[in-house]
Amino acid sequence: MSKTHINVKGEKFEINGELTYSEIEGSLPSAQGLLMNARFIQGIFDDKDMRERFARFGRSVYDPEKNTDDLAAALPEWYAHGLRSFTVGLQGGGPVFTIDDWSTINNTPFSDDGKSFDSAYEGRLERLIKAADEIGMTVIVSLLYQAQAHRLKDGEAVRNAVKTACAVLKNLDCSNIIIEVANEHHVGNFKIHPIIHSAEGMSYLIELAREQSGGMLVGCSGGGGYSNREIAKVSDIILIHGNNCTRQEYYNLIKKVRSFGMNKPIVCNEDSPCIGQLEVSLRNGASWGYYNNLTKQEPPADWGITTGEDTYFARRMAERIGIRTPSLRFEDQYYFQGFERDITIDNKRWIRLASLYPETINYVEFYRNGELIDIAYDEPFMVNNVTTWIQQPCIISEQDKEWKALVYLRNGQVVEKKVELR
Amino acid sequence: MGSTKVGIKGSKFYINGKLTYSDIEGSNPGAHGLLMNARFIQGVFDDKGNRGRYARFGYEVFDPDANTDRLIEALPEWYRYGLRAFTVGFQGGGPCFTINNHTINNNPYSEDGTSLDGEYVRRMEKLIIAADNIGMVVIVSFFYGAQTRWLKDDNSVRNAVKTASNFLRDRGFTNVIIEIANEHNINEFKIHPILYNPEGIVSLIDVARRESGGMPVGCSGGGGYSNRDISMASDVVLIHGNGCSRQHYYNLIMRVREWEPDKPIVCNEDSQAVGQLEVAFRTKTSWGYYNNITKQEPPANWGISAGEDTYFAYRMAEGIGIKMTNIHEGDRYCLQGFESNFTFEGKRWIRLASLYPEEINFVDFFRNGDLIYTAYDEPYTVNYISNWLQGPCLIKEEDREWKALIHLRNGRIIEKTFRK
Repeated sequence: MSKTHINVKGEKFEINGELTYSEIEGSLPSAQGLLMNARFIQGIFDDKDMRERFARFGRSVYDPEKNTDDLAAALPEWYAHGLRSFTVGLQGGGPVFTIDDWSTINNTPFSDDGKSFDSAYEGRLERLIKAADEIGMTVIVSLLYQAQAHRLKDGEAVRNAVKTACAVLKNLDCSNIIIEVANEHHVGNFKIHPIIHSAEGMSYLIELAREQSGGMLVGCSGGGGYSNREIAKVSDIILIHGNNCTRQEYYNLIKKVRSFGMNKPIVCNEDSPCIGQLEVSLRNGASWGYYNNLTKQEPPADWGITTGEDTYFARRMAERIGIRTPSLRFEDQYYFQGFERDITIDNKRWIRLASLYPETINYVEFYRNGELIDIAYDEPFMVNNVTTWIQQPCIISEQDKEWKALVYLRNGQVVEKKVELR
Repeated sequence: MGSTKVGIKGSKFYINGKLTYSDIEGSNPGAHGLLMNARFIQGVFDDKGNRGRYARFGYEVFDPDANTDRLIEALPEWYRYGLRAFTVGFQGGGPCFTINNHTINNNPYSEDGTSLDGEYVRRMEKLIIAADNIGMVVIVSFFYGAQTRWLKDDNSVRNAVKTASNFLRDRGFTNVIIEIANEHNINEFKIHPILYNPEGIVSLIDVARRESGGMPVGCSGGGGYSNRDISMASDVVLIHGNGCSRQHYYNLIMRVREWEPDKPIVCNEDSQAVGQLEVAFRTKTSWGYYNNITKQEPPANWGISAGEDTYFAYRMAEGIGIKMTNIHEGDRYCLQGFESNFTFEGKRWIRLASLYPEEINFVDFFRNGDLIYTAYDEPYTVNYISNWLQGPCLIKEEDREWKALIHLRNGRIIEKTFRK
């Protein structure tokens, strides 16, 4: 028997019949009914062709079972900070920073006709969903990922895969599951399958998933800033992504979706490390999804609440729900991130300035051996910014002795953060 | 011969042989050599098909000559705040908030491009001379997307470049920079491949330079756009910041500078978001203020109007190091859009302007007590579309009170109210 039962009333979520967070003493009424979440898309990740390339970041082998177990072990800590859901992909997500061609990764539980499901994936998925269920968390299971689309041979195989996956989920007899049919249905290689790529096809797949899962809650996301009325109409939960949106664009997206007048929960289940967006979401009654490609989408992920961005997100989430956490000293509210010992590959590092209160930052200057090399103006404050969730690496060489970030705050104060390299 | 001679050495601008702004006592050396500018694109505007519809904003008729004359009158005030250039279009720009440009006939060229309308020539000439008299440079933009439909083919476009360039040369102007097209890569230019394709623009830059007798030439693209071939062919690398966040704008500058480290980079169209101006000063590049409402809806109010215009002017002066009287703290925020004459078909464009928008976290807008919108990005507009574009509010009889609650980054909240 499932311990965690999710259901929806109007725009709000209930867990076991109570508005989410309402059981927490002192929780803010504005947060009650939301489903704060994170993208843990690689929770059951494997690469059946080249597993060894994920023996990195301090690990001598990549073990998919351990990867899942590590995530399961990290869940209680996230729960304590208010996380009530996470998205895991049956076909994972792209290790955007380190692998150029994600289609080379063989990460799918489906046979090419979509009729069968890999039992190892099923085992990992079951452990994860049950671990979440045990502690009161829900899981958004994302069925399809664009970089794996070529592994399903045609539209019929896609329909079969949806049916097969839903049968696996139904068989778990868990009531803490939400289904995302595809992760951003209209992007990348989904174009080879019109049934996924088109809103008409996706609307059908959403209905199919609901029916085949025995009535689980279903939705489907599009790329950052995307919304589609037809898909929203057929969804139980309106899933949106905030990638690369400014706060204004994200606000306008929520407003637009709400103007559809459908009285359904609006859940962002992928944004970026920008916790400024979290504020917009909470203020406007939409659930928000933290997405950190670097800490959580490059297998093997460190699933815990790591120092820097993860910690700041967790604390801000807790703060805005009304969960008390010990306060952080001012100097610890800014963290010069990207120099963690093991998080490097081919001498590349991804350097950024994380903050508990990024709203206080005007801009950040980055110095390499005393020389100004970049200025970051937008959150997240990254060297070589590309979008809110992507940055280019810095190649670290023998000559690198010192990196420094000068953080210019909006109140005129300047905070210095320095890292000495040996 | 002109009394204002613009010159370029490396990435710096000179006026009459001196680095710009270096003549101002106490000016910031970091600003020397920049060419701070504004988009006054409708400076010689007319609509030969339907002039009557511009009898608005408190004017009983639209008189193209008076429009140009009022801009001329406003120039000295802008100059005092540090403005040293403005962009004016032979084919104007879009009154994007009120009128579809495809319905406008604002074109000085004959359809084969071999002649220029005498009235446009007269207005352009007096404007350039007025600027010349006070030490200002004019960026003359030859083509505007929707208006190029009046030119019959690519050959006509080439002719028009020659005709306009010859006019500038024959008058002996020394204070002119030529912009071939205003955002050559936008859809409206597709009907003329010579304007739409970078290869075509590169050829037209050469034509303009030759036919103008060697004036500095460049060509802009849409917000955030840059093209290496065009940059290399240009004397001045013209960029636009429309729709860019500060980070996107900074990244754009860095990209262009990597290609052309030793040429001036001039943004001649951004938005009213003065946060971008700070990026420009910090990167030692020139910036162009663009306010579609106050300056691109004919007849424009060419002066430094209250609110956004004033805040831009002040921030420009401050960045250059021109001493101005302090703006009183209570006047640093302006709930804008309720100016008595500035309404069209019952529409108003409501926004919260600020001298230091960096201090603002977000702005809640209330209409008769109801929260109707929250603005998170600069400029803080109701119905934000882009940093230069917003949707209107239809004002109703019942509208009694509009209020903006400005949530500052330091936690303070400031209230600005407009009551009927």
